Amino acid sequence: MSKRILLLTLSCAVLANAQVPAGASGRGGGGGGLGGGRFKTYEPAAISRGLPAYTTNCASCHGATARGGKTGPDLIRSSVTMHDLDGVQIGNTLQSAVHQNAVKLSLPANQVYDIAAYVHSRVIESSGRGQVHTADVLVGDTKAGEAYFNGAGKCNTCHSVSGDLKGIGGRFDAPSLQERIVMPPRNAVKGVPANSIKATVTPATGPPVTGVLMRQTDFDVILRLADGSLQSWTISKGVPKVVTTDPLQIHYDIMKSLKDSDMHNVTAYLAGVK
Amino acid sequence: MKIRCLLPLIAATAWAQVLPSADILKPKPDSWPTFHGDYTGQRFSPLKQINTTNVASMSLAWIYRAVMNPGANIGGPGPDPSPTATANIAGTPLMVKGILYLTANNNVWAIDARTGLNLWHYTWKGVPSVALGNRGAAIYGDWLYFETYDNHLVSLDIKTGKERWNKEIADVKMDYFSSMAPVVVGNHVIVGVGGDLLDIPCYVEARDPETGEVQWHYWTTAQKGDPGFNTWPDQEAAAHGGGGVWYPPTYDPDLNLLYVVTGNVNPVMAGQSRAGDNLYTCSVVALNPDTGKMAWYYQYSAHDTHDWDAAQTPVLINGTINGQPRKLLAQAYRGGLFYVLDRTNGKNILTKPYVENLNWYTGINANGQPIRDPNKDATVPGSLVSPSSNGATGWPNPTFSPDTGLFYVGTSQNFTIFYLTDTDPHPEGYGASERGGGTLTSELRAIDYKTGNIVWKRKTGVGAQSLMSTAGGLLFGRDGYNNFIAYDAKTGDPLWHSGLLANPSNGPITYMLDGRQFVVVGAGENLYAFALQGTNVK
Repeated sequence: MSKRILLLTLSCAVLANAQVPAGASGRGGGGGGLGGGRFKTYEPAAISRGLPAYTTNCASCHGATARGGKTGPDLIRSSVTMHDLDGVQIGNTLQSAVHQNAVKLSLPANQVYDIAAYVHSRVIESSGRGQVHTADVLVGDTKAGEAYFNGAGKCNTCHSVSGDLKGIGGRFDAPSLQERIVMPPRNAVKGVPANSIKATVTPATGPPVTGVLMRQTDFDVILRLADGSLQSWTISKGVPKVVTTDPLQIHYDIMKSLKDSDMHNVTAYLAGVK
Repeated sequence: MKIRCLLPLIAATAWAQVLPSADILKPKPDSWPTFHGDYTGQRFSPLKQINTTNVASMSLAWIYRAVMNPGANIGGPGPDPSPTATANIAGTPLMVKGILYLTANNNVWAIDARTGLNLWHYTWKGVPSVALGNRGAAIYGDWLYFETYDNHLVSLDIKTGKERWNKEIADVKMDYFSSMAPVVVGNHVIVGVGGDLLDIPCYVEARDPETGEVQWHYWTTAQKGDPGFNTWPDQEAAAHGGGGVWYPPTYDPDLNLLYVVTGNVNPVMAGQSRAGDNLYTCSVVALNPDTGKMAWYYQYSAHDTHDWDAAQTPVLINGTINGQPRKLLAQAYRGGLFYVLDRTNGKNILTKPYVENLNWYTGINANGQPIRDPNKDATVPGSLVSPSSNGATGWPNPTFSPDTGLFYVGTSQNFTIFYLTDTDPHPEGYGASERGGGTLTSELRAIDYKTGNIVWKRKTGVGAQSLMSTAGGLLFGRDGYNNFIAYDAKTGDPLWHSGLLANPSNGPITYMLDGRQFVVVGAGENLYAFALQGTNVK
């Protein structure tokens, strides 16, 4: 295989042991998150106008966030809302005898449109996964985190808050920091992953070859060599021998038994390393 | 006398049908007439022309590229489909009388099974799909049935691909979607609908194969007055409880029971408004296909909070437990546990994890069900859980070989951090976010159904994957690096492989035509057929 063809092939290849992002394989059905592109997105200005109009005219019955109140139904998981386009169906419902008998409301069409835009924005928000905030995550004990870092967790075997982690708390928000504590990314630096898996291939004849592991299957192995070139071998009955070294292996090992409290404590500790 | 005269006519009519009921009940060896090939869900073929001794010389017979065809039959409302649209083949094709019937979202192609040439193409112009895929079609008599993404059951003339009728089976505006392959049982077309985002109650229905009208309707979340309603705090929760039906059921004709597997609960990961077991989500439900009445149920995970649906194959095995012949149902559940049930009554026989490092339950109760650890629900500051919502396996089908007694399944051991993002007493939608984590290992595993023990395992680059086993001693699967592979089913040793243009993306099938066995698999937009060449064909 020529090097050019090999490069094209590798652009589609999956790095051995690559992490699978959550939600990638999904379940039996639809795409998840923010409506999966199924819901109309309204202009931000209309939504901004719609929120106070909703609060003034609707919230007392339907709740502050349109999820329903003591006297009015949920407007998010609502058939009227789901069948509405540009406030037309919502407006018809407002003018219906049922609604007028319950609450008399007479709103101009442009305001109904704005309220509908706000309610639809809440539908999209409810169909999403929600945001994780720094304040939510920083619940751990800083000192306990430091003790784990330098003790049971043996983090200081590889890391130092005055070395590779210097100023780490200022570089990432707490949720991102917590993610990295569990499993750092395989950052690509100039095309070469920083936390890449190294491998040594020992052919039946000739010297061993070491490089970055790009692909390893039951049938072949491909390395990126120090000069940037790629080299591949066919594997047959375990030959040539391939020995790999993963700098992130310790994180995989720790992940198996990492307690949530230790995870939160170390996050709190490292968040303070400015 | 009149009856005597009519009988030959009825027989002749049945004979002329492309797929009479008898051939669904007992598939002919040259065919693959249903989603799983037969009603058992085993995905095991009795064909053995291609076997462990000669598979190394199997090679490509043809490739079919599933694209928009000029002159396609078009149905449904909406704008014309893009002429450059491409498919992702996730569905299992059917093969009846020399013709393959392949689906992708909103599309069906009829393809000559010997040559890979297109015979007709049907495309539905409704709401464009954002689903992961369409599982496939069903055939009965001279008709083909499939579900569109926007919830229309479409019946086509199998000979021409022209639309016979379409029936709306759920409202897409309420965020229902359909991806299941229908299953024909007797005079019923079994269909299911799902929904992901906005807490809708889901269901399975029987439809009349002639008219498409509803014969019966079964809610998968117990509604007021139903047994199991007391596992919900109130009607509001049950009416928004999810339980999507996006995977085809299996069927035991002797017991006349349909085994329906149900989706996860809604709200998906924020369970604070739905205290209780939330029946019949994450369950297998045994229904009478003539009435829709439930005979029994078994819930794999009570009050799920991690999006682990039960949309995996409920595989029917006539096996032996403690020396006694038993009618069994085996399922590798998404949450990482392998279950064996008595399919006559739903009683648990075996529960055992099929992967390591699961951390979401504290033990197994007397009914064989995991005892959920509430500390491993999504929390505001984050909870590190294995597996992630992707599960230890997923909807891609396992296979069972009666020859080896092994249940084969693609597995993954992975962790993720679940964050509770909706703390409202009445959350909606997912209610939680997943971030970070990683995959420890992905392996193809062979499980002894009698013990749940892992007999062999082989590392791959992919977790859940669609598999097929054969009487030729072979197991067909993939490794996540575009390779389609034939393994020795007894040992897991790879005996043959072929690098495709994409990862195999559907369930492989096999059939015999003119004395030649074909193995067919989809990968991305292409369908590949393999066979022995030259003197290897005996």
